[in-house]
Amino acid sequence: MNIAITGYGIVSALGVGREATLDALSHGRGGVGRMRILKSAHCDLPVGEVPLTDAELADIAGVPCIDVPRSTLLGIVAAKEALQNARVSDVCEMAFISGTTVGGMDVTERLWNKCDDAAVCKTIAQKHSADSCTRDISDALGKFGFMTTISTACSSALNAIIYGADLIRTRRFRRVLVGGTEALTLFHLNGFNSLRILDSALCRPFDESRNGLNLGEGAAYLVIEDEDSALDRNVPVLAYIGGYANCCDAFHQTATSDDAVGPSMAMSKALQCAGIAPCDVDYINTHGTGTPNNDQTELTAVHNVFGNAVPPFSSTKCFTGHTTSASGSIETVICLLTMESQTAFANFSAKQPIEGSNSLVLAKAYNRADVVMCNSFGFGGNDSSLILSRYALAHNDEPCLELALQTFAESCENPDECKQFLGPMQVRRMTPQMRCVVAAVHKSLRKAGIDKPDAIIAQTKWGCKHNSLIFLNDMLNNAEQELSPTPFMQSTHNTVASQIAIMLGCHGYNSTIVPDMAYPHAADTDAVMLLQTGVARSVLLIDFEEPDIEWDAMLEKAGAEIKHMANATIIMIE
Amino acid sequence: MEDLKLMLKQQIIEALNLEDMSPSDIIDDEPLFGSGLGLDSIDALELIVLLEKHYGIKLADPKEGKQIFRSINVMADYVASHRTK
Repeated sequence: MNIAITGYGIVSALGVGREATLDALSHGRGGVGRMRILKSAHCDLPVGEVPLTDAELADIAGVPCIDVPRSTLLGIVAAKEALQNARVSDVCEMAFISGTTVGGMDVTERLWNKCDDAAVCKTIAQKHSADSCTRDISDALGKFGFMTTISTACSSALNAIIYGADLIRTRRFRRVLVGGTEALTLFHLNGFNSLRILDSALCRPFDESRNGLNLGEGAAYLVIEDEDSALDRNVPVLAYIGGYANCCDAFHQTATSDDAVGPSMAMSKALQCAGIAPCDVDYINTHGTGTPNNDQTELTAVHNVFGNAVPPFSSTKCFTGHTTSASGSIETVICLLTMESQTAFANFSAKQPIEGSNSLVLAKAYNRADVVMCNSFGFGGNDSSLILSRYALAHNDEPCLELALQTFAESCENPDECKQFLGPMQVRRMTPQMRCVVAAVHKSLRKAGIDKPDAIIAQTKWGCKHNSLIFLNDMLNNAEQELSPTPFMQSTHNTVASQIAIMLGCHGYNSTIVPDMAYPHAADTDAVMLLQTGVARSVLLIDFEEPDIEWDAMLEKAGAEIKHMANATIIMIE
Repeated sequence: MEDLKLMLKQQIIEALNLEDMSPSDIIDDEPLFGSGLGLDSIDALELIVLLEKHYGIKLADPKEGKQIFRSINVMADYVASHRTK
């Protein structure tokens, strides 16, 4: 089956919509500059802001703007364009898969110190979580047949595309809206700043002098569908999703490994999934953030996979900034524009490319771009790669839909149980609930009789809120100064799944899902899809929700449900 | 100087959450990173925040930390001569 792309929408620092984006890209006009919308003590840091206020975005989105997260507003704008572009008017038979990490964090930042008021608590409880962002976007579009949220930090949007493609391949849906959205927030601006990876000048990916990234914001969504569905609807196919892979570096929560295991595997497996050889790739859109660590590792990975025949590659982060959870879909759209115009957009800020980057595109270049690779990497070593093609790639990979499965479930309530599995240096950064997860995982593996699973999927609603709140409180109470990086590093939802991957040395598929309340089985579905498509023969499913005194008090005042758990289940083919 | 070293060890244990460790477990002239305690790049950033918070020392370039955090002895010398509070 061929998976066709029939529409897309985009908003970023380059402007609203396809035309503005293509115009900026083809004229070499970047969108990174002075901070105008976000109000931060670090206003001297350059950012790629969407040049519109929340009120202006709400106006374009056609929704009210009071207490609506900026990520939601950006998402609605891009998603509406995608549906219109694909000539879809009714979404009831479609699924919607969206990637985000900050969700409604901007609203929480504004309201957190006013939490003695029950109405304020209610707003936070309704708007903070990643899934509420997805739900609010969907409410502005119609009623989808299914929706869920992927939260694997900076690779969220690409992993949302992968989830959507698997829904089509396994014949669960014929048409899916996929992508991601992420607005700038004080929280992650300060977080990246505490990690000392923000450049005070324009970022310079793959340049000798590179000194960090610039944060950006935006959203992009694509309509993808079974090619027959596009033919039935009589809409043009813009390109195809040729192949994809999600792998895990399993090395460190924020740093990338020197030997580039995760990114190399993601690229190789994506090629394998597409049924093509490295020499078939015409162009690579790299993750290329501009941090010393990422670019060196990614270049190593590119050489691991492509040897001495590296195709032209570029990073468009100097145009848009690093749009974090949205970057995977924003750059997929940029890849489509590259294919459409047969133009590689220059990595224009690099003047002295690092050794081994002879193929770096330094000026706009017209060349064949029929098969394009798009990389997206995230904290937690969540590395994904996507292959796009102008023509359908012939490959036969019928999924096996009839499977007999067995499950082995365990849980844990005592954090000390983990000490029989890990030493003090390994557990020192883990919250009590994370320790419970470690114990539950080991017990479930023992029950299933395996050492490690092929894939890891975690599901959570509130994510790693304990560390998030430590960082948020510090940031709000210390005027954004002297912030400790450890809680931020462990604030992303994917911290749990990636810590377990590091612990087990598991380089396979790794994802974190924030299920919508109406579709609570999105993570189980993902696990079954991996087994059906042959990506895994065993999947570890983690279900976690951690206690936090402050957060739980807020939820109680809001009248919201409070749940705590640390469950692990191994799902295997019999 | 011995007081400062003890204080630094206590602050390191607290900042890096080295539970089950006491100041006497950290040897004055042993490396903190790599073969010694086995700390990582995030710990180095935590130590930079520690210097700023407790001693008013600001490092413009995090790479400077590599030299300063070689051992407790080196760190204590640096703090004694650069502290502003």
